[in-house]
Amino acid sequence: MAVNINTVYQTVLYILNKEQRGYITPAEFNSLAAQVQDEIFQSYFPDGNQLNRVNQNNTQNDTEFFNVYENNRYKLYPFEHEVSFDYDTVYNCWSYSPTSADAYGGIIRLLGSILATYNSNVNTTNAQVKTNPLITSITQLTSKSDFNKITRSKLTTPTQQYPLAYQYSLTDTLASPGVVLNISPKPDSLTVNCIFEPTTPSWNSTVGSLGQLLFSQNSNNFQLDISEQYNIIIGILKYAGVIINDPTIIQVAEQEAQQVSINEKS
Amino acid sequence: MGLITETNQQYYQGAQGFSSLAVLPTPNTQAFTATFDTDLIFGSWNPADANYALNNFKVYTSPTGIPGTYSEYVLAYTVVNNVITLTGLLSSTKVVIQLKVLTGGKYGQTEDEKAYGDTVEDNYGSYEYIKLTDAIDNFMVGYVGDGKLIQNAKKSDVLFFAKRSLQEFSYDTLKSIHSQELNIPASLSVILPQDYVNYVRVSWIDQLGVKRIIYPANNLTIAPFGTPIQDQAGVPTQDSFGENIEGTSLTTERWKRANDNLINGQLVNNIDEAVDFQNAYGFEGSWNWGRQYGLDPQTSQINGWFNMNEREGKMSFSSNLAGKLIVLEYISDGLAYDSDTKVPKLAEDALYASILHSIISTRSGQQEYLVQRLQKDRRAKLRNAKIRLSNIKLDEIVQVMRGKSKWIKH
Repeated sequence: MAVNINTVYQTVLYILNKEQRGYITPAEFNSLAAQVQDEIFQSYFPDGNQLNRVNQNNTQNDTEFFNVYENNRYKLYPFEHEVSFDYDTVYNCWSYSPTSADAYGGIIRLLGSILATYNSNVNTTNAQVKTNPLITSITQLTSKSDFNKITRSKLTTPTQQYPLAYQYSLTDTLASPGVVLNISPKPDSLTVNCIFEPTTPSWNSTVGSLGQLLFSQNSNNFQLDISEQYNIIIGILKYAGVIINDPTIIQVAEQEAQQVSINEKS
Repeated sequence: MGLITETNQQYYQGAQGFSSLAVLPTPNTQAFTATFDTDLIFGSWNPADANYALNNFKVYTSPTGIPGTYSEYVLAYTVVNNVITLTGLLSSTKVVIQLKVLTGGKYGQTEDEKAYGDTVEDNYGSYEYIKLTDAIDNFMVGYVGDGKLIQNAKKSDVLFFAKRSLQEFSYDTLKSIHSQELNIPASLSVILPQDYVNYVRVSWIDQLGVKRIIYPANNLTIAPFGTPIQDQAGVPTQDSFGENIEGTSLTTERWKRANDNLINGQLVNNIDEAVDFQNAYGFEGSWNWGRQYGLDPQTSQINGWFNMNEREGKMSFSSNLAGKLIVLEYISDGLAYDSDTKVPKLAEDALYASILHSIISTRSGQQEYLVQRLQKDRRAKLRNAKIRLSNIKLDEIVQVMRGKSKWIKH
């Protein structure tokens, strides 16, 4: 469940206003909100790598709710989506063209497992048409360098059972710039499990009868998991302390954030 | 869940039956999903189309399902992902998909209607094997991941080592199932099979169908790889491109003309052979090659010889085998054809052990004790697989030993 942006804004204002320390405007808050959400989102990847070491050392607990690695992984689920890629006949590559239905913010951060589907084997040169069953294969994503090497070995050359892909970028722009894949052999369709960049949070308002700013339902909540609400508030307060020039707020917020980090990783 | 997904009818007869709906949607179309282990291959629904021969199945329909009432379905249909969609179908009709079988199946009424082929036979006994692709998927599940010896492995690496292991196993562990029945032409040479790696045994077949083993002509003759044409001074001559001019091999010519009786110790039947022998070996009374040093068991057999002609990629035979029927048993590397890339289940664990050892031993920073442990594990499992695949049965050994002085009791 996402974090309600109005709850965060009201809490931040409440803490800042206590003892008349200061106030931040919605515009300032929105900038800080985007910054903090991005910071937390980016921290998942190095944290996940660090937390996975206990799995690799075989020292991870098998409890239902206290597996920190799984808990960290759970926080990524709001950004994980399986999407279809389309084949671009101009550039001979596979790319993601977001539509309104499955946009998820539209910007892919990371590629997960790639499933290539082959539903026919059509030999156009001699007009022999063979219809084979649907083959859905896990595609190996490699660097271009490895791609060149692997395709040259007769033992590992890509097949419908073992397709190979590499990621690159185009100098020219597609309809939707971003991730571009080349896959050998060319599949009939492609689905990719992706991590998307979070959408930008914004606290929007309408003007009330007394001229006051009222929360608008048109706002965008934080996409982060509800468990991150505390960290978001602490993070925003840290930057808010800079804005209102109050070192004690910065200090308290930093200490809180540090404590959370130590607890999670130890 | 059991690993067998085919019904008895699908496995033994290669047939799967359906019944169309009592009320069909317009335009009388219904889809039927074939669930054979064998995938349907579809060229065309139309028997008049050349691609129709590509089909590995036929479709029959009957209004009642009573034997003798089926006829081949020759109206338009499509096949996608093993789903056959028939159009123009009558309601409550019995439908049968028959894979091609050597007997033609029991549904076609005429020779043209019968489903002749060997698709069904290709599937017989397939439970003995596991596909290489399945073995690789199993390995990725069981041996690769967090907390395991291999934390992370590229699938292409696993694929490489799996194929290499299969190649190595094919040479000395797995059963050699490749053999060709050939006639020896007048040229006394046959071309090596496309997937040939090495021979296991070459035999000629007598009138009773019994194998007579043909031995290699190791020390008797050779098929020279290079046969340069020499000038008067013995120097090889070159063509206008600067390459040596190659001639035919005189050694091979003489071997083809050779009278094998003069080599194998058969008593000569006429004076001409005696004269030939004396001309060849130069002293009287010695009828066998090598007799002056005692009989050579290697050459004292009348089945004939073969030798490899590496230059031409052929196997050559001695002249007494001209016109004979031979069977060439040989090994391949198990990767030549898609149908080859399978592993006997008796060697499945050895394959996993081999891949595991190969991956760990080629990684930097691995403890040597671990590599050694996996190497021993691999060796033990390979030996076990070899013993299993040797097909040693106690009853058969006892039967063999009954002809000996010592009986094994069991």
